[in-house]
Amino acid sequence: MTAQAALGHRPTRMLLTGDHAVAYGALRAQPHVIPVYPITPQTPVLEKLVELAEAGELRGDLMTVESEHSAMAACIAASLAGARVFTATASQGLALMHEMLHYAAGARAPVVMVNVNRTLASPWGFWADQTDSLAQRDTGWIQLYCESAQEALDTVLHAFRVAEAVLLPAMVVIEAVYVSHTLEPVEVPEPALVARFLPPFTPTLRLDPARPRGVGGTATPAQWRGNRLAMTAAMDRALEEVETAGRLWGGLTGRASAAAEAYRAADAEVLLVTAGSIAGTAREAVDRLREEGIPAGLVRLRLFRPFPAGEVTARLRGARRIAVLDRNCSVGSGGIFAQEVRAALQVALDGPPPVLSYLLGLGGINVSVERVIQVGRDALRRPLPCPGPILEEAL
Amino acid sequence: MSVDLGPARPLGWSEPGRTTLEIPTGGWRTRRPVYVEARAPCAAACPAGEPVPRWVERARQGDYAGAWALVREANPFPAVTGRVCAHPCEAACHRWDHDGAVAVHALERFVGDWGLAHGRPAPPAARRPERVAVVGGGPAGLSCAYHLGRLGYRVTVYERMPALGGLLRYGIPAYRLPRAVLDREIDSVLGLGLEVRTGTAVGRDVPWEALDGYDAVFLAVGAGIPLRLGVPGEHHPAVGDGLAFLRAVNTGSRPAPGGRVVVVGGGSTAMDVARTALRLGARSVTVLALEAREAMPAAPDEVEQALAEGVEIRNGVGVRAFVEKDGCLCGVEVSAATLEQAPDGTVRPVFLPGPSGILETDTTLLAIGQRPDPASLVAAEAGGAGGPVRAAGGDMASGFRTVSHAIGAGAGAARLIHARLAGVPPEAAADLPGWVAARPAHVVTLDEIRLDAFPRAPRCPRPHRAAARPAGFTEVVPGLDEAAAREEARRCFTCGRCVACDVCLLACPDMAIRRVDGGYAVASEYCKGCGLCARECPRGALQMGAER
Amino acid sequence: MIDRLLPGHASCPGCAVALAVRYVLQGLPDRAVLVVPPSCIAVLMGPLPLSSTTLPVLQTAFETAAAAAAGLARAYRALGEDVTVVCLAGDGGTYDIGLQALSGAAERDEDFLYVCFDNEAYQNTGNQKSSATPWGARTTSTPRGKTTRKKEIVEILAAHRIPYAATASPAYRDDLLAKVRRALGLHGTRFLNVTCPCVPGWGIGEDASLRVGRLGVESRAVPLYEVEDGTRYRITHRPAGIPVGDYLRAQSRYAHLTADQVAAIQAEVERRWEDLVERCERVNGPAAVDRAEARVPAS
Repeated sequence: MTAQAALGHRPTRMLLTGDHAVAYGALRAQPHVIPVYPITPQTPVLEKLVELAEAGELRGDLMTVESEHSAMAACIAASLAGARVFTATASQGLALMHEMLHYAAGARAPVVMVNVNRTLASPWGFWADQTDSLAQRDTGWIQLYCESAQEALDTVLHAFRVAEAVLLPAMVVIEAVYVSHTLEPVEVPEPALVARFLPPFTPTLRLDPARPRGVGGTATPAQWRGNRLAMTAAMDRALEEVETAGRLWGGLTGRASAAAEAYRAADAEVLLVTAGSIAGTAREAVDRLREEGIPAGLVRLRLFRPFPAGEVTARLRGARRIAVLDRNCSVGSGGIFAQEVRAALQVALDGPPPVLSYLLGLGGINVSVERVIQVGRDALRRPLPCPGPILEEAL
Repeated sequence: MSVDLGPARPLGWSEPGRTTLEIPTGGWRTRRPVYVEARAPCAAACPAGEPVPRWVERARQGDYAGAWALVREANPFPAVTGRVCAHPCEAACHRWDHDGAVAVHALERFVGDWGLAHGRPAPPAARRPERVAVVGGGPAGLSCAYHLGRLGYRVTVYERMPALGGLLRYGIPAYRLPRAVLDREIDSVLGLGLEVRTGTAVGRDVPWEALDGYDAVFLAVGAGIPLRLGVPGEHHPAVGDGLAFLRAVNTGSRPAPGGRVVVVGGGSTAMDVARTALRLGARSVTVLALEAREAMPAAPDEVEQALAEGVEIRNGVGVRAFVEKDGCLCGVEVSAATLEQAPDGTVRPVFLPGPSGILETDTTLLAIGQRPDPASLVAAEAGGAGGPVRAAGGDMASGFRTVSHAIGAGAGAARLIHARLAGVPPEAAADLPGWVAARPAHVVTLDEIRLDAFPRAPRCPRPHRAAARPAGFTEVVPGLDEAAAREEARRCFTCGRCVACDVCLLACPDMAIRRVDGGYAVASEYCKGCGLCARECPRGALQMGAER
Repeated sequence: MIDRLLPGHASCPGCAVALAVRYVLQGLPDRAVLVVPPSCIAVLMGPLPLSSTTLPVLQTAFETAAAAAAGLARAYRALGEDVTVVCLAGDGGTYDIGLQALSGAAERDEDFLYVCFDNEAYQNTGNQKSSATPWGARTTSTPRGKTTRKKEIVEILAAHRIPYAATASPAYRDDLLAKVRRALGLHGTRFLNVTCPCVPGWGIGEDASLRVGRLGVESRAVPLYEVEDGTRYRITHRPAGIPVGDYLRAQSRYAHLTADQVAAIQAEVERRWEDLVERCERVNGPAAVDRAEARVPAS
């Protein structure tokens, strides 16, 4: 029995899209300020927040700024003033924020943002593709990838807890359409339960006239390096905080989570690795592969930054073949998760298993169970070496 | 959540209590601002050596006692000089071209009159044993006696005339200098305990040798010998000496220069003679001056008043001869002339080509200057080693024959005598606070004054009561009332002297100037030496100097 | 008078921006927080871990001063704290890269005072032209003189109908502080453009910035006025109307101008002045031109 049930908390069960679910997540975190700018497919987040504010449920100041860049600038400032801050964006908006993403992390502003993965122009597209958020991997943001509306809601709360604990901004990522606009039954936790999980934000450092200090002045090379190393140390802590939050939330709600989650992975010869909405499809494919007699398993990367190299290595080390499924493409290199997994194993293991890179669902193309099953089969028989990304056409 | 993040803590914040005060930007400086007290042009021009901006500043503050005391540090007769000084200070005033010179002359009279009504003279210093003889009780002699008296010397003043004052009493008419004013300022000097022997001419009533018994002697017997034109007909009885005329009037006679009076000369005495003649019933008075109107030695306001009273002034004309007919003076032959200054300082006409004309006259009075009696000069140079300290001053020793020059000469002689007798340096140390450097040799130039810091304000009007053909000898120029005096004093730029106006303090981009001791100090740790403070100083009291 | 800017900052000697910042800070309440984007003001604020001011400062990205200030103001309001938020930005961060954020904030009437210290070019990076650079001025990116005119930033802000927009000059401190006080008495977006002569950028002496500032104002090249609610114009200082050539000749950035070009600038100055007077009179009648202590500049 969960603490939730034991305490008599009754979560509200609702049929919500991913966008509306994150809006409820934000509602439960009760941010003071929400600077936000609309963009497809994030717009329902904004609209739901407005609705909640109009209904008097959301107390925070919803600030409809004139661009995502200004949204993030306002987020950082408000956060450094000591406010809890939430925002959401997608694609072009995230790209426009890029400068301020670095700024937020360097200034150690624990802003929480939902990004709805969407293709970057040009040409215009409105479908799922993780390249927008993965392209922000070096900005110093914590990144958490969700596969469902429920997880998105939960992860917004996790993100606040982690970000405010380590003073780094955190991005909660869901994919366009597949999560953002897909209705699912979602449990919205009671505020009293959230209060047991997410303490108020009371930073020791803030822009306070009573204790005047400046932030963001010019640094010497040594000072800049020091700040960067401190961010790195904070990222290390973030990994522990993510795991702690996952366990604690599991105790409270029955929905535990981890940085990297395994499914039938222990004895798998071929291990699929993915992040986001493909994970659900992949679980089904794993079951079907096992029925075919192929010992397959899945490792889902929930946390991308900090990259949980140890957890990933521990779960992948026993496999004969590893197949990374990327709904993203670093042009000129290939799947971004694949690169990260290869890099992690390379330094962790003496003779790591081969890591094959599959580009699936680019541009928002649907990824079917059959397609993932093809990957599982292909991975075991693909001649080596095979460095380049393997496209759907090659399966 | 607030926990100590240790090595993961944010480092982009300034540290509490740590400021740029840790950065000594003063190291950038190649020059530094220095607060100075330089000489204002008015003070530099004042023959009596008055610290004009200082006492005007006191008057501005309403501290008339302070103003009066400061004037009298240099000049015992501000009520007199406030009326009769030619006020070269105003000609030198940097405000001249801005909106008119500060009316220092009128302010001095206000302060002097305030002193006569309310002033309490400072008591003299402790009595000294040395005795000093002052020969001549005019402004030079009395000034010297006053300064020495204040220093505690035993001073005896010898005056050949029955009363003290010299030309102030026997030359200047009462409508310019009421006798009550003169008497009271002289009384205030005598209050120092001087011995006065009027009606006693040294060399006539007392032998010159009698002075040998003194420790020092100051000769200031004036210049009593009138200059002559050296033209035909000059010795006609109807060609008189202007100063003698004034002396007669001032000793109570009422000569009646009836008919048409011609006065020769362009100075203050000529104006006095002309206006006195007018008051005594002359039908017409014409002044003949070699100088152009603007170049006349008489003060412009005197000229203006003379004209207003009905005196005719002809400029640029010289006298060629006096014309007699049947033993009577009937005219003055005049023609256009310019003036030439001889190397000895005397002035002579240079006649221009062209016809001469005859100006009809019944009486002509010459007011072209005087020279000292040679006997007094011999006396001044007499004496040898072991005799008393000797000094001479006033009109007998100077070509600058004005009241204020005489007062300044008397004060200078007193300093000299004091230096010799007491062994102190003649230049007293400047009375300045530690944050100000004295620059007495530097006279503030116009480009050191920031005119745009001073809104234009008109000079106080000085109406005079000079009606056409005045009959009496009542004073013609009224004094300023207190409000007008304060207003006028506010116009003073106070050139070369800090008045703590805060302009420098507020003009510093580096907050390197702070208030101290009624003034300012420059924080050398932070001053970058830009010079904005000095450039912005409205009055040249802050100057950039080389970095040490 | 409380100085909230401290000595030891790194401005150039004789910097008018430093002076203007000093004055603005003198006019602020104790509970104020500053927002500073990259600019000469950022240089002033001091290197880490030091600060040159007694107020908290957020140094934000170049184009974000207004957005960051808006975020701060919203945060303090949400936290129930009474804090005055003040942006100190340069002309590059205001007229150019930060205009979008400023316009957005002004439209939303975000609650802060935005002060642009306008030294008419990117002086922090060594004098490249900005849209605040006047016609004819030489910069390192307009070596033959700028060929387009200066952006009318106060008009742009006034067109947003914000409660208060005004111009000011460090050479007229009383006027500047009166405007700061006036602005602080209002709520919403308040804007002040302070024209700051720049020693290296304008080519003037280290001791000349205030004098040149006066020449600019007295020649009407830099009129001092204020606009309330985007419509009520008021000239706050009646200039002497000296020839603009006196102002231009004091700066080496204009040394190349021909007599005809100076005459053209004079005509432009007069046209702008007439336009300003007209705006004042249209709303308030001729009495709009008051608070004008006739100061006469040195020729």
